[in-house]
Amino acid sequence: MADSGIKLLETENLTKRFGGLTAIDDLSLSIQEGEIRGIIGPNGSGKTTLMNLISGLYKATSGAIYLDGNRIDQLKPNVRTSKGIIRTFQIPKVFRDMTVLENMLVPALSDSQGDRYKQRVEIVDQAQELLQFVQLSHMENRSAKTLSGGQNQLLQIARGFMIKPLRIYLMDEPFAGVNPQIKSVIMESIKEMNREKGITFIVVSHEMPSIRRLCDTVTVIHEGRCIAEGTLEKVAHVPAVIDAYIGG
Amino acid sequence: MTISGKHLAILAGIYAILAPIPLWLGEYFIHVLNISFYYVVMAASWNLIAGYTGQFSLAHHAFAAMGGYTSALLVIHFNIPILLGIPLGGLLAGAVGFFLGTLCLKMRALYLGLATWAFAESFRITLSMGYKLTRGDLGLSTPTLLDTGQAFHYYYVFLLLAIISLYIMYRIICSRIGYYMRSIRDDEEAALSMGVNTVKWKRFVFVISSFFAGIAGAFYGHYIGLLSPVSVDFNEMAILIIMVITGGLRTFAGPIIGAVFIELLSEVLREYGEIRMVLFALMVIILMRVNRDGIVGLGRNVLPKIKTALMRNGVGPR
Ligand SMILES: Nc1ncnc2c1ncn2[C@@H]1O[C@H](COP(=O)(O)OP(=O)(O)OP(=O)(O)O)[C@@H](O)[C@H]1O
Ligand SMILES: [Mg+2]
Repeated sequence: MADSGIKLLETENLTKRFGGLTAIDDLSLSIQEGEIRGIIGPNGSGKTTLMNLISGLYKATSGAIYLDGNRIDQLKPNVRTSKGIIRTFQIPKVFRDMTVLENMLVPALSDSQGDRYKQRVEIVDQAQELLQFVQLSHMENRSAKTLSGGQNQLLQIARGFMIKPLRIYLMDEPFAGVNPQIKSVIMESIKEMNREKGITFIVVSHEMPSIRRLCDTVTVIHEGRCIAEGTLEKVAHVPAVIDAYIGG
Repeated sequence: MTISGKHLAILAGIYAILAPIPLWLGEYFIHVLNISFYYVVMAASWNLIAGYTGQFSLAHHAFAAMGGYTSALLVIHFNIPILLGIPLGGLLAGAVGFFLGTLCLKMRALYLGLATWAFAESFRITLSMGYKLTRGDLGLSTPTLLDTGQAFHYYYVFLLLAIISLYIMYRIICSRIGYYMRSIRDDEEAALSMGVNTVKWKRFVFVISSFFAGIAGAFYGHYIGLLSPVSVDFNEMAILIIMVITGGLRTFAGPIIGAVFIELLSEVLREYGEIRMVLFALMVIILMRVNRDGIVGLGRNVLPKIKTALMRNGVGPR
C-alpha cells in the first residue's frame, strides 16, 4: 500500500541532535501525494522537531529530505515555502499587531510567491474567501492580538492556504485547546482542501478521534524513531506502541 | 518607484503650506525648525527599523555622524561638490548599515541593542582618537552648503529633504516591504515560514534607515558647519527614542509629530539644561504606562470621544 502512489515527501535516515539528546533518530518516512498522514507519539517524542526539520527551521544533524525526489534539506525555510511546503505551529504564531486580513496577505505578498498572484485585488479576494471558509470574516479588520486561542489557530491555518502552489501542509497539533465548533471547522477545511485541491497533509495530534476521522495511515514516533505505521486500529495494537504510551 | 500625479499634487500642496512659515518668524526660530526637520528624518528612519521591523538599533545617531563626516572629509580633501558628498555620505552609511545588519541578523532584541550601542560607542571613540583626520574633540569645520549663513534659505533645503525622505519611507511602508517588516517584527519565525526572506529584508531595512540617517547627517553638517564626536553621544540616540515614543512608535505620523514637538519643547526649556532629559525620560515612562501609541494614539483615542460627547450635547453634526 505504501509503495503504490507517487512519493511526495521522503526523509532518509533523518537525525537531529540537541547536544547529547537525540530528538529525531535515523527516521525514514515516506508520504504519498494526496495523503493525510497522522503523526502521533507521546510528549517529547520528537514530533515538533520533525516539523521543524521538514519546514527548515532546524538543520538536520544528518540524513536527507526529498520533495518530489529532489533534496531540499539544504534550502532555507522561505525557499521551502516557495516549493509548496507550509506549516502551522503548535503554539499558534500570528502577526499580533497586524489585522486578520493583513495576516492573510503576508504569505501571498512574500518573496516565495514571485508573480503567482497577479494583483493585490486577487490576493484580497482570495484572503477574504478563505476567512469566510474558516468563519473569521467578521474579524477581518480586527488586530490579531484580539483573537482567542482557537481563532488564532484558525487564522494561522487559513493563512497557510494562501501559498501557491501548496503541496504539503504540516499541522502541529491543530486541535489542541480549541472548542468543538472550531475543531470541526478545521477538520472540514483539511478534508475539503485535500479532496478539492489535492493538498497533502501531515497532521500531528494527540486527538485520536480526529486522527481516526482524517487519516488512513498514522506514523507513531517514540524517542525520535518510527515505532509503527499503518491504520490507527492496527498501530494501536502494536506492543511497542502500547509500551510507549504507558511509559515503557 | 513611480510617483502618481495625485501624490505629486499632495506633496506640492504640503510644500506650499509649509513654505511661507518662515516669512513670519525670526532667524533663530527658523533655525529651530530646520533642526526639527533634521530630527524628523532621523526619527522617521529610526522608526522604520525599530518601530516597523522591531530591530531596536541604538546606532542610528552614529550613522548620521558617519554621513556627515564622510561628506565633509570628501569635500575638504578631494574638493568634490557638496551635493555629491552628501549622497556619498548616505551611501557609506548604508554600506556600513549592511555590515552591522549582517552582524546582528541572529540577535534578539536585547543583544541587538547592546551590539549596536557598542558599535556606536566605538565609532565615537574612533572619531575622537583619529584627530589627524577628524580633528577629534575639537570638531571638524565643515564647508557649508549655501554661501549664506541664513537659516531662512536653509529652511527650504531641510523642508524638501524632509518631504522627499518621508515620502519614500511612506511608499516603503505601504508596499510589500512594509508587510515584510511588520511580519518580521511580530514573529520572525512565522514570517520565515510564510515565505518572507527575513535575512534579506532585515538587511534591507538596516541599509535604508542608515542611508537616510547618513543623508540627514550630511545635510546637518553642511548646515551647522561643525561636526564633532559629541553627536555620537548616547544622549543623541536617547533624544531620537524619546521623539519616536512621544509621537507614537509604529505609526507613520508619530516620529514627525514627536520630533517637532520635542525639538520645540527643548528650545522652550533650554534654560533648564540637562534637566530636560530627566523630564523627557519621565514623559516616556508615563507614556509607556498610559498610552503606548504616543501622541498619535492619544489623538486616536481621544478625538472620537470628544466627537461623541459633542454629538450627545447636540453641538456637532448629526
Ligand atoms: N530547540 C531545542 N533545543 C533543545 N532541545 C530541544 C529543542 N527542541 C526540542 N528539544 C527536545 O527534543 C525532544 C523532542 O521535542 P519535541 O518538541 O519535538 O517533542 P514533541 O513530540 O513535539 O512533544 P509534544 O507532544 O510535547 O509537543 C524533547 O526532549 C525536547 O526537549
Ligand atoms: Mg510538539
